[in-house]
Amino acid sequence: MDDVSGAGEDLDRISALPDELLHVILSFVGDAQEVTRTAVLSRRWRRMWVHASTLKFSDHRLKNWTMDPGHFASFVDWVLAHRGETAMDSLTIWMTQKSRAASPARLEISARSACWRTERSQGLRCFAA
Amino acid sequence: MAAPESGDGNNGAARMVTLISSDNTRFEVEAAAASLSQTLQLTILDGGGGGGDGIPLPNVDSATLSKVLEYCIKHAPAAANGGAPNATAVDRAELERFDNEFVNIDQSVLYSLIMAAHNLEIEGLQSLVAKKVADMIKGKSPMEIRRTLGFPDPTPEEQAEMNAHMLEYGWAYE
Repeated sequence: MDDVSGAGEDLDRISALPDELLHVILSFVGDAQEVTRTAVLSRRWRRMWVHASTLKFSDHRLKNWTMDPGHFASFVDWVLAHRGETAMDSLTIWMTQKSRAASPARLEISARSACWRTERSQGLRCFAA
Repeated sequence: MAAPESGDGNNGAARMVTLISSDNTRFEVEAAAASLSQTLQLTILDGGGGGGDGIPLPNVDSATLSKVLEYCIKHAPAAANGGAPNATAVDRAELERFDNEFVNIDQSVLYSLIMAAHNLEIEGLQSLVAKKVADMIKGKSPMEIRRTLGFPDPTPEEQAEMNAHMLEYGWAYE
């Protein structure tokens, strides 16, 4: 998609960057699914995603969310549990009423340091305090 | 575009400073541009870098420094305006065009640039390169990311490990 000049000839240098720069890069990736996906790249990347300080969750990006709205809440829970106490700059959770109704308590507990604010009729946005 | 290469710097108003790359090339540049680096700003405020002295940058080679200064010179006017509240849309569009083109470069250069931006504490440049690398990661499968970033082909052992992790992190691959 993105045209990367010289891709294929370029040898991986990015993995050699210091941890803190990889954390910055992952924070710019943003989308929670795409961020967690990097865990699989190599051993070097295995736990790197945990330090992404910006995370955006969006329920319609999960394939099964319409069939099982609780699925989304589980994903958010799982990510936040893996991050533990790691510092966060911004957390956005975007979901429909359907997902929210499925397990509001769990989600709100997971995002305990976050404040909720309704936005439009369909979604919720949540930022870390 | 203003060339950062040597000059005698006595051309009036703007204060000039000299930066010396790891391979001993001297770059003369306006203090305002060099001050985009938080690290250099302190030295410059202390009166360093002027005259014949020059500020040595042992971690930055001349190719990288020249690129870093190209960025600083372009961004200095907007930075001087405190994020340019009175910049016109045209100015902003021009900076954006410059930025996009600026990072359209090989990965090895991206690597050197983000390291330099990090060491010199040039926030805007660090973010610009980080965003570019993030764009190389976004919207791709792990194998596509590995190819884009130029990872060597996985060994069978590595492949097995990747498969196991994909199962564990099943969420991420939906």
